Amino acid sequence: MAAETGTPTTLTLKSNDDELFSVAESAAILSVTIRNMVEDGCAGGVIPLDNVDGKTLASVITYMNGISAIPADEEKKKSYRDKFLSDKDFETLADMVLAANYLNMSCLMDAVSAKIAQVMEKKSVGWVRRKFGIENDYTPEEEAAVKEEHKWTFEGVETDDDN
Amino acid sequence: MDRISELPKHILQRILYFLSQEDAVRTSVLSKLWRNIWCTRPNLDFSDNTFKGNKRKFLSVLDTTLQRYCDQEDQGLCLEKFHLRISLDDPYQESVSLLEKWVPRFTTMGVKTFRLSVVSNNVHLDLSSVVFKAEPLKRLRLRSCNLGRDIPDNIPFVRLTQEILDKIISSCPLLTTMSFVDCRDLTSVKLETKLHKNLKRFTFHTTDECSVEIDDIPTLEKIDILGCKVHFHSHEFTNLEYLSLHSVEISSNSIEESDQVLCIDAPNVNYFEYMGNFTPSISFAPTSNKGRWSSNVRFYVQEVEDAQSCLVKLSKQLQALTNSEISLEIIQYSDDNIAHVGEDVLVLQGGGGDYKPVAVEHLKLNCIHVSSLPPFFNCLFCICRPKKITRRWWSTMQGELLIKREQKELIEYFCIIRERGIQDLEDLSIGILDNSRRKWKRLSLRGPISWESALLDVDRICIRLKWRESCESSSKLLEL
Repeated sequence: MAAETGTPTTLTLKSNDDELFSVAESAAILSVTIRNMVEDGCAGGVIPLDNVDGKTLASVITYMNGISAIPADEEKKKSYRDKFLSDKDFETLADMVLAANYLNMSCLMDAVSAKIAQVMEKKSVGWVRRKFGIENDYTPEEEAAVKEEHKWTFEGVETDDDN
Repeated sequence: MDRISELPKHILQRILYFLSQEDAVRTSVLSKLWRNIWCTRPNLDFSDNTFKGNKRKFLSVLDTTLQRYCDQEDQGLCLEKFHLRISLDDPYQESVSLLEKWVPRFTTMGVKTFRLSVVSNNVHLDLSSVVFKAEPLKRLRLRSCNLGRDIPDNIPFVRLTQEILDKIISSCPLLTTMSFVDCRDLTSVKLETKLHKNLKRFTFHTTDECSVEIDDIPTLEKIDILGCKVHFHSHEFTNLEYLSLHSVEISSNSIEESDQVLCIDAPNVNYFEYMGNFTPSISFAPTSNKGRWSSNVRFYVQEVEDAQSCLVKLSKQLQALTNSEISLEIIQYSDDNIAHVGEDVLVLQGGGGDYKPVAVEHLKLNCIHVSSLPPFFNCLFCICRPKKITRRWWSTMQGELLIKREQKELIEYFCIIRERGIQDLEDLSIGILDNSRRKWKRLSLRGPISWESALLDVDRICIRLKWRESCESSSKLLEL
């Protein structure tokens, strides 16, 4: 359907815990999911986002506004992203990466994924397990076999106290 | 289950995408869920340079991993990026056969970005069997590869022709970086507009006789050429940021006949480097002016009779680079040449008015014989105004006594300059680097210098000169 003259420039988003947010359409369409809704003419009323809670959505909207205010300058955008993510803990990052995935925002998804990856960089298996609370469900024999298979990746990595 | 392991698999793949190969593979030990995620991430990054383990192990890990990716192709595994750096130094040439086996296979797997870097000690590599039709190839770097075709040794004159290279290049239309360093049997390269639509960085280093022709390639950002004959068919490089020409011969029809100047119009240039024993004055067209850029000129002085014209040439080149922050290195090979540059050059240039002295940020002197310094500097100060002059000595190359004598003569020369004064010079100071303590100290120029203690264990001397704003520029300021 062709765009009508009364197309709203502000969209209302609703989180799964019923919080409402107003956001400029130009910023919101960074999300391919929302953009598709706008293009299909389904964005007239309130847009329900069933997989995102209010706290995360507020954060994502801050990001949408911040990044869309920056003109096409990749370096400035990158430094905005770095700053935006710098004080987020892992729980928040996990919420954001899921929201970015649901909203289909590849730039946010990549930035958050890279941020999580950064935590794991050059760290030992034991350290990563403790950091993220990952439970080791290998038997000692199985673990030894996997380690043996990828032995080269353990050279020069600090050994852990717990394995 | 913990938060991270709960994330959907494709998000975990995306997280692992940002890790090195090694870090990504190591996650397989975290828990059963993580066991195989690494080998479904959309990128592969292998470098035997950083691989921890011997070459044999590297090749077997590479082979197994590539096999795993291939096996999953029909399950919809998508490989976006494939970076491979490999050296061909193994005795049985397994790495060559590995390349020939996997590269053609992989480039059909939907790879969007393929970077290949090959280092070899003149091991033969049939480039066409490896990267021919490697459409996603974006960066190709080859070092010390023998690119001749697989021809028996008794037919030594068959070489990788321009034609074959062009065929390869035209089958890789996305190429943005092309680097050939010390590759044998590559005697001529022509960068053609129609073949290199995306080429941004071009590096070509060789010690063989070779020629490079460069057409109009508007995408070029970096040109780095060492040791061959260069023919510029175009002088406009809109996006060029980096230009380095080392020991090259500029083909005469690239140069404007009238004033023997190679004009490069590069409005976005930020670095220019030139090294060689002759001087093609490279002038950057007036538009090349946005912001500061720097240039690094390494200048050889070789022949006695040529010293004067050398300085005139050097002056021309410096003039062409006035817009940049210039760093100049002067290198002398033989002992007794610059001494013959008479004072007449000084008169000629000082009175000629053609050569206004150019501000030089840093002047490095290399192997300049000190006895020839006074006349040399007299001339040099007519063509440039260095803010800093450094001279370094390597004790392994020269005897201790000789070094001490040179250092003393250098300092004495500048003491005289300071006392007598030369045109536009306001002040100068001399710093010496204490070799053992790696600390600069300023030499007191008041009163006599006690040479024994002052020059104990010194391997670098630095003279800082403060110049008055020249009359011309101050009058310009007044006009404004």
